Amino acid sequence: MTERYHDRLDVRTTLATGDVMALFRRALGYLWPQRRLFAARAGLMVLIYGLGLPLPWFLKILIDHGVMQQPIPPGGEGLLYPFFMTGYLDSASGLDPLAVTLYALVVLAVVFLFVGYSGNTLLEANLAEGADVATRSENKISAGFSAAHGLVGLLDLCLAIRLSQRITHHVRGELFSRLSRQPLTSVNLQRSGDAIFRVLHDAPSIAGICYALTLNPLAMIVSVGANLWVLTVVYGGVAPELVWIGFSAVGLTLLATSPLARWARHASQASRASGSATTDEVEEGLKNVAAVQSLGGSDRQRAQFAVASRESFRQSLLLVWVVNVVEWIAEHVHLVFATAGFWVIFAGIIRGELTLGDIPVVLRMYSLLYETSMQFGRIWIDQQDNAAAARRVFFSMDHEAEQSAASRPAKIPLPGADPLTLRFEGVGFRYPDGRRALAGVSFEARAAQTLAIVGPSGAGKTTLAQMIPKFLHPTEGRITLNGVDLAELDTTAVRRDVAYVFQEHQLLTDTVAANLRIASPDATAAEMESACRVAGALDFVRAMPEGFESRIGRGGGALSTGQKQRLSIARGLLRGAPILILDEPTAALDPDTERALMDALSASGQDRLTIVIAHRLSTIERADRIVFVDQGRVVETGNHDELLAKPGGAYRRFVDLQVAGTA
Amino acid sequence: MEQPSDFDALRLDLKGLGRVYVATWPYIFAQIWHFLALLVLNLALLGFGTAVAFLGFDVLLDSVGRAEPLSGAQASVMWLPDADYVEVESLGDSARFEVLFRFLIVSAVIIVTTTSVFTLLTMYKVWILQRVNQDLRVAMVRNAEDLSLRFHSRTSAGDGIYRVFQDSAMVTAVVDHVVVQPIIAISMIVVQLAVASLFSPYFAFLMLVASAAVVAMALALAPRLQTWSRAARRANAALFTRVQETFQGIQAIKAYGFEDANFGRFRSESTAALDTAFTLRRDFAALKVAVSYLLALLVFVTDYIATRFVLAEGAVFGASLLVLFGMSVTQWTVAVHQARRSRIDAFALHFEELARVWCFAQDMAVGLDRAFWLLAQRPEVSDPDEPVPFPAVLEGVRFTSVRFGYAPEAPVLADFEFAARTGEVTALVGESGAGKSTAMALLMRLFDPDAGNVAIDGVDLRSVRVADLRGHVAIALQENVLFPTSIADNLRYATAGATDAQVRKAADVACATPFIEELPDGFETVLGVGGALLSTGQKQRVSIARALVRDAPILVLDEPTASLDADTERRVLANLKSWAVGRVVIVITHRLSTIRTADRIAVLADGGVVESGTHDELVARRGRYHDLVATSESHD
Ligand SMILES: Nc1ncnc2c1ncn2[C@@H]1O[C@H](COP(=O)(O)OP(=O)(O)OP(=O)(O)O)[C@@H](O)[C@H]1O
Ligand SMILES: Nc1ncnc2c1ncn2[C@@H]1O[C@H](COP(=O)(O)OP(=O)(O)OP(=O)(O)O)[C@@H](O)[C@H]1O
Ligand SMILES: [Mg+2]
Ligand SMILES: [Mg+2]
Repeated sequence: MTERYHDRLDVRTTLATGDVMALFRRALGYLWPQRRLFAARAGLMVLIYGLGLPLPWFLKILIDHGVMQQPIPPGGEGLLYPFFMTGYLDSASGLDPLAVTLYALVVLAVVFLFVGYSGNTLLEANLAEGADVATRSENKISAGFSAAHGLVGLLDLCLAIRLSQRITHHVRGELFSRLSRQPLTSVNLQRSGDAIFRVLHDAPSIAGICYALTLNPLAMIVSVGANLWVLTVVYGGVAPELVWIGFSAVGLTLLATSPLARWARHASQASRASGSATTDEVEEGLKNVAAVQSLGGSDRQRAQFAVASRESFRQSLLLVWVVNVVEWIAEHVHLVFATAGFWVIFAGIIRGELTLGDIPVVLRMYSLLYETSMQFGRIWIDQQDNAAAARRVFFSMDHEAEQSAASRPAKIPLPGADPLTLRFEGVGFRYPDGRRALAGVSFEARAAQTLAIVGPSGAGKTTLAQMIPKFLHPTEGRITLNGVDLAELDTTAVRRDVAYVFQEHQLLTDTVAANLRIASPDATAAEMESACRVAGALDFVRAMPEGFESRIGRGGGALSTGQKQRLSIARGLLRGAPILILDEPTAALDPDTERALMDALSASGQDRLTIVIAHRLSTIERADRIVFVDQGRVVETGNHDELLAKPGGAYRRFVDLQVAGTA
Repeated sequence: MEQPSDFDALRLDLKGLGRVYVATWPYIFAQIWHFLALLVLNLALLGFGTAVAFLGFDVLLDSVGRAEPLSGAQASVMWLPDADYVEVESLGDSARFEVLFRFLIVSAVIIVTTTSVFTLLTMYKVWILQRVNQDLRVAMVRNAEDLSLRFHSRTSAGDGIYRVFQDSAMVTAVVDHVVVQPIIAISMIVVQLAVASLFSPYFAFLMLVASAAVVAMALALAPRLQTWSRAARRANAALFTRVQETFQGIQAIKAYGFEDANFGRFRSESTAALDTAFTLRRDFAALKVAVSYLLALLVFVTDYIATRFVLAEGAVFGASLLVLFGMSVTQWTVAVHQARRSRIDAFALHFEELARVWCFAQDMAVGLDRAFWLLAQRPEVSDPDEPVPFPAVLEGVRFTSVRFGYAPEAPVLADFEFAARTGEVTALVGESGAGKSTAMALLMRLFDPDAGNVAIDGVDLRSVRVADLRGHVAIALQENVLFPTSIADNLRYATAGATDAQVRKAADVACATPFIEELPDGFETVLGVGGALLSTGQKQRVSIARALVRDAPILVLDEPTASLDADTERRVLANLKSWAVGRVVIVITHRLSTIRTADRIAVLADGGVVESGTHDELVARRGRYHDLVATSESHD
């Protein structure tokens, strides 16, 4: 199953009951910050059930004293009514049947304005659910129902929706921020579709758990308790069987539904995982639409999507089956009790102990008991679904975050009194898959220098450079800034002082200015212009229809590759950091543009330490110092002339090759 | 610009709503027999249920409850002899118990059967709806991928994905809630109305009055619901896009410590999405509360009237017809009172259901509108009506007076003349942003030129099938797009049936074999997102190899060597040169060392080719190319 749904990091997908309990405990933690809203809802709920309690008795009054014309003695003396009806019966005694009817109906109409036909159908405001996870999670995010209709029900529902939303907002925010703080090595391993699924579709389940474990059982206990109690008080003497049936109906409904929970849980988990796989398929196709089209992969992509989509439907159909079968069983349990109830009531009527008016009362109380315990059973099943989602959420939350503990002053001492020095001391690195990318790398660089890292493709240049802003951490040796080990410095602070321009530019689907401001949120227009000028981006940005406010398409799609590269460089420059790392800044630039860029770079920021990774001689030769890397090791260091002077040296061979190629 | 403006302009009135729903018809039609079967079965089941309920009221309340004799039909259903149960003045206690016992057994049997059938029907329905949804979302994905790149660079990927999922799910729901359920609900309402009018025409009148009030309320609230629903969807799509972009651009976000600011945006978008969802639901709920209160009042008023009838011992208005439903009384009794109430309750219930569906319909119309908006986008490039076979590529590729711009008023290429001959390597050079990649996009027919044409062996590209064309042109894109599957799968991406030997051969030519073999699982190593696990230069070689696997007569390499070191570059180019014999090879490059391997060079500037010829010819002309060479060499 894990293989099938590309869930690469998160491979444990089965849950034991113990795990479920642990997940639930943790989910409940999210309820605490919402305690006031929660208390308000709990209060309203008790009020609703309280107001709902007398309603069935009015049905009895309507039949017995209206239609059947039985007179009401003062206080309902000798009639089967609970004590809370005494006051009303007193006020209605002596009225003729039609007046009794009118009186009862008017009271009902007033009560209904507030609580509606409480307990009949739940008041909810869900959107139509399709077979898809998206709508379902939409409904979960704003989940809520009220046992009452009417004005109180409306208020109750609004509170419920708000409560769910706040919990979801909290959870998904936390998850989002955790996911975006994962170290790059694991981010790369995961598919972004999976991360999206977790944030948008799994997170809402936590709110569901919170409800299911608190308000829902509370509601059930209040409602079941109150109904059983009234049943006992009123019918305990005349027809005790009615009370026994009531009690066993609750117990049996619960018993019949809970063993099926495990089954439902598995179905739900499979359904979820395949839903996420479907998101992946769509995403990959749309994101790389240019590649898909020009490589002729459309048919393939389509076929893959169709398969993934069908699988996701198959899984969700399975889930629907399970849920329906469970409901079918529960309904039959209800049938048994309703039949028994009918028998007892009519037997009582034949014997003259009960009246026709008792039928709606008892049936209504039974169906309340059944509905409530049935809901409770279902809720438990839904929790299996939620537990599966919660596991995925908590897994991501717990997954190692980038270390950010600052045991040292946040800011690197800036050049000036103490010139900035970056030193690699015997640094080695292995990727998590076990491959060694670097070994024994040592060199030093200072402020106001340009350092070039040179070497064949795959030598480890990018790996080396990514250690400086702490994207990767040395597995051996250490890197120091002014003598302080990077590991001891706060990650955020280091990144503030190190601007990194990636070999493969990453632009957001937004405006030019918004992309620039990622590096420096408060940059002024003048600053942006000057960064663009240095990077050689100003001309084309100005030529765009809305200048800096032009949108650059999906991932920068409306720019040529070289333009994207220059925009990325401008973004790096805008950062104004004392260390600037450029990974192959000129790969996509023509010689003229490249030259202008390198001139402008060396003219700007005299005090900066600039680290350039490059293959092109024209970019490298101006560097103050060249570090030649091959197969993860530093083979030579020195400046252009020094290294050229070494006969048979690696750098010399490298230069010779390039010159031979162009001559 | 990001959100299409025609979409915003669309306001849904009743007609628009209908139009949107009509658009679902083809998807429903594909399953029409299933739907009809479902409908008939459902109606039969519900009708049967009504008759059983009436029988119940009559038997239980009047016979068991008040000891009145059974009717002949009732007795035969319960296998009771007429003599003791029908032709008597009133029933004795033991007879009443017998009737009760038998009735409970009969009804238990009926209920077990109907609920089981009902469960099966539910499953049947889910199954049909899933088939509709599957068709639709596959159609949407297909269309999205066929749409030209112009469309894709305008809308964000997240929005597209959101549409496919959220909005296509609507279709299923539409069919269920707007077609199946309302048809059932309306037929039930009509039946209840008819039956209730048999008790007394007053009831029918009151029910009609209540209906009119409910309908008026629903209509009045509709625009509001639609507005909020649209806002909610848009807010959700924005949130989705945010999440998606974050995980795609995570490196840049980290590099610039943008996490917090980005998180701030996420939070505010999340809040906005939740707020609109809340408002929408509150309005939904308010409508429902109002409708259900109105219907409760209807029940109360009719209760009062019915009680008056019973007290007056009035005659039942349509008693002769009610017999058809199993009611065998002519006078108002408690059984008639309750049977009448059950009908009006059912009426109210179905009406509430209809109000719920109405709310759904508002939301779904908006969803569908968005879904069909995507489906309605026509690909800009399409197959000719009568395609000609793909030429043999004996001569080569020629661009004649091509003009093209992403925005028509700002042409990127203007009067662009370019030729690449079979058997030669042609280099296309020019400044960054000159339009080189754009020209190749025209060759692949990702776009069509605004004027002029592109031809292979004199055959206009527009006269061959798009799939044919793309099957004969292999391209290594400037930006290496690799998929998170195994390397072998990536290499086979463009050529599904390639053998292992072909794959390996291509990897050899691209100098990719040595590093691939060093990977833990060799060719079967699974890559991360965007090819993570490989260095950029390694990705570039995989991407070149992928184009080579295709073994096509036309090969386009867009900056194939940008991320390669000189040594690797030299080896790759040497291999390519021998591989390319007898093909059209177009290389776009900035590197002099790569240009030098070309037989012919074209310099692109200001939207057109300003110079072309061999290296020596061009150097001798002392034009742009000469300057370019001078710039490159001055460094060395
Ligand atoms: N995420 C990763 N997991 C495992 N191995 C990796 C990962 N990223 C890179 N490597 C491997 O580490 C080695 C060094 O890669 P690196 O990206 O540092 O090379 P590079 O010198 O920058 O090359 P290029 O010039 O092609 O960009 C390569 O062999 C590469 O396959
Ligand atoms: N999808 C698009 N929408 C709008 N404009 C675009 C789009 N793609 C490219 N452009 C613009 O068209 C021009 C040519 O782009 P193209 O990608 O063809 O350049 P190029 O010659 O390949 O440059 P490079 O060497 O930098 O890759 C550029 O100005 C670019 O901004
Ligand atoms: Mg690299
Ligand atoms: Mg290009």
